[in-house]
Amino acid sequence: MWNERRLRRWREAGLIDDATVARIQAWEQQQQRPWLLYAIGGLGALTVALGFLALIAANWEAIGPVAKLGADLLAGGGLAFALLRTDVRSVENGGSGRWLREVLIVLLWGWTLASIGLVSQIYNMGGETWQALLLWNVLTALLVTRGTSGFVAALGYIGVGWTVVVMMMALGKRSGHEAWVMVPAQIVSTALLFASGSRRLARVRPAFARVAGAFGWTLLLFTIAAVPNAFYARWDGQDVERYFASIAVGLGCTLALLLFAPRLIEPLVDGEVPPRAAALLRVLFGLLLSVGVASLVLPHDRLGVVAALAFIALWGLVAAFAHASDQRRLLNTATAMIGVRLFIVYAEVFGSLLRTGVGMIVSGLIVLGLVWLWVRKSLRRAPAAPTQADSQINDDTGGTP
Amino acid sequence: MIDRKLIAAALIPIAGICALIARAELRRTAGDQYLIPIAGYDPRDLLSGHYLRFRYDWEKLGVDKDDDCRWNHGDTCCICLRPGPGGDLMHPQAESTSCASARDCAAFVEGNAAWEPGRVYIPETQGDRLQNIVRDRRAAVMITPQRSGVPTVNALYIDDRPWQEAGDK
Repeated sequence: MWNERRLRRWREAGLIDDATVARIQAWEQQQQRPWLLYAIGGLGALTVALGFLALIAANWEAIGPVAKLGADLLAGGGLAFALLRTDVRSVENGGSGRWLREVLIVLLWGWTLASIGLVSQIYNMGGETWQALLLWNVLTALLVTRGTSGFVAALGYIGVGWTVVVMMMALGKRSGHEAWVMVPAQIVSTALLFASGSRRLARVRPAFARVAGAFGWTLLLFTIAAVPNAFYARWDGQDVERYFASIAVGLGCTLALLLFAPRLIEPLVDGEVPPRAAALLRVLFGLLLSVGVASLVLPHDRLGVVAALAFIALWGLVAAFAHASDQRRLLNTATAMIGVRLFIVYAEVFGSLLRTGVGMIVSGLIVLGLVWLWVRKSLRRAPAAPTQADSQINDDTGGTP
Repeated sequence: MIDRKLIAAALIPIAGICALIARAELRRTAGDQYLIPIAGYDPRDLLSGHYLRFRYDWEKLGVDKDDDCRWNHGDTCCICLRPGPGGDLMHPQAESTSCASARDCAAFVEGNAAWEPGRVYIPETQGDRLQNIVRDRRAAVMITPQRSGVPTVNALYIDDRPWQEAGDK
């Protein structure tokens, strides 16, 4: 739909003609995928997979263990056969029916986890939950990578992320350090961001790279929103020691992102990465690292003002980066986050209403001043765009108006 | 022509599950099965989800509760199992000793597995009934001790019979 609107605007501005519009529309039609089919089929497959799990959890004693295992293996064999047959038919029919292939991958993926649960139940196997999840991910790793849709990619990433979270929680319980609980988000988001920036992955499995980017950037934005709030807590050496593992991993991940920032932008832009966007992203990660060190490593008292300023500064950089890389949705999100935080500042009332009011007016005027300067600078730089009438005059007279 | 990677991808999960079943079956039949009395892990929370939590009641098999094995050896205090009179595995005898000594026994259970709570899966609809039965009657689990010292828990028993055969009184 937005394509149609843009095509109409370009046509009205005289940038393209009717023949070009028709060619673009025909090409777009060819590229279209049956998204609705994928979405509904994927949801149906996920529901069936979850149903398998519920059946296993019920431990239906009316069926003997041999019958249960036999039926389970039969179901698995049937799914595998159906998957292979569907793939062959899809190739023979020039790619149609690929959605069914994706659905069968999801079903086999869910079946594997349900089967591990069934065997554990029948044989009363001990062990921890993360071990079962790890086995599930290992057995289905190749299967998930055979998928080509965003839905399979999303489920695959969720499966791995879930396993990492459960592992870290078990590690935290065992070592007596709840710090490990905070580690998963940092490792997972960093890994996803690097995956999204991988050229090989983008070439071989574009949907996987795209979904990795969506998840990774979302988790990163949560981190950017959460870290400054550490200034609200009173922090001393004991806290640093208790959470040291998690802090170290987080800072390490942020440093890695800072070093490879330009690669992370590649999937977001067409063509070359704008140098300004790369620089801004580096500055953002640098500030995140600094705020992380200041709030989580250095002892401090409750510093609400610093928390607010750090939050606004970080999201200001997000907004600047979004503008430099032409990410309109991200720019809107960042602007909204800053707006919400300003309301919270108003509600927090630092010191007194008078002080808060003066502070906000001054800050607001500074922001408006910057915007005014920026607009003036942009207007001075941009050359006057030639109109259709100007083009017509040029054609007739061979000179500029 | 079928993609070879897809064939492998489809077969690996099935092969993995078959291997898991084979391993579990081997562990179950690896040695003799012993019947070990159990007690509730927490009388207020005997049942969690769809499995029964329990702790082994080694005292009923002859382990002295005032024994200082755990004090002296900590996690390396193991349980040495011997068949009862006449080779009776349904009523074995147990003794706490160092793990180094326990390895010479007919069977043994290593420290963590012996003293930490265990669990046995039960059907969703039998939770309340089994909770009462385990509390009020002689409950036990059939285990297969392993060379590693971590036993395989096979089944829940009530009054020396599989729980499925136990009546309500």
